[in-house]
Amino acid sequence: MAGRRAVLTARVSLLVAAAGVVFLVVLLAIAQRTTSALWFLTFPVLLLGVLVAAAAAVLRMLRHF
Amino acid sequence: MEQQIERSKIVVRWIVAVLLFAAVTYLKRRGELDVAWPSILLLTALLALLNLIYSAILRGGAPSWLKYATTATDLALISALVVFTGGTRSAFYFAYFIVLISNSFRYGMGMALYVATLYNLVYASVLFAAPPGGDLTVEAVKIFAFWGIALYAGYLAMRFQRQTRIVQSYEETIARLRHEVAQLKRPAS
Repeated sequence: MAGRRAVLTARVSLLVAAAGVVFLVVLLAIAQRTTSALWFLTFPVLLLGVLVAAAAAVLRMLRHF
Repeated sequence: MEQQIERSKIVVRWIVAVLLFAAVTYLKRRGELDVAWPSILLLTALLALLNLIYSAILRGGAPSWLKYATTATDLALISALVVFTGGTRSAFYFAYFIVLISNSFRYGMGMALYVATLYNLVYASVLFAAPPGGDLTVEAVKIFAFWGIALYAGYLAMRFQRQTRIVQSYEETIARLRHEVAQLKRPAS
């Protein structure tokens, strides 16, 4: 790994993980509280955001980068 | 390859169309479905027309956009069927899963995510068009469950594709080694 630039730094992975947690909270809040189906249109973005954040966090924890 | 897959999807689409038409007719005759005949016939005719158009397109090869278009129209037709047959209480909700499994296993994770995204958008539109009233938590759980199944199906498809590639490389190695052995056995002239 020496000489290779880190693709995902600790700071970036922390930010991505925090964004993922926010996305998850918003997702669950919409699922529990909404009375308008239009809010469900945001699910793909939020879900993919959570998945990307989880993937980044796991890869960072496994020292993949 | 893609042409072959889309051709087999056309066959599956005819079979599913006949089965769904039979199911709708049966339930309507028993008085368990309140849906007008023109709506059923319109949907069936639309599906038949689209299938014929896809067959015609596939005669000249499979354009790269076709798989996305066929999946999108399948989901749109199923959504119309769901709206006509009771919205969230429709007995035909399961048909979404046919599209998901069929496409995910054939095309992999990318397609699984595409189907899940599209389903999410069209089902939200279905809920908006025919609102169940009150709390929508159950519907949100349905959408989450669909996403979960899509991701799992995509993962299984990825594993299957990787194993297929491994077997293919083994077959190529065996063929090469057989050829080399045959060369060695041949008497020097």
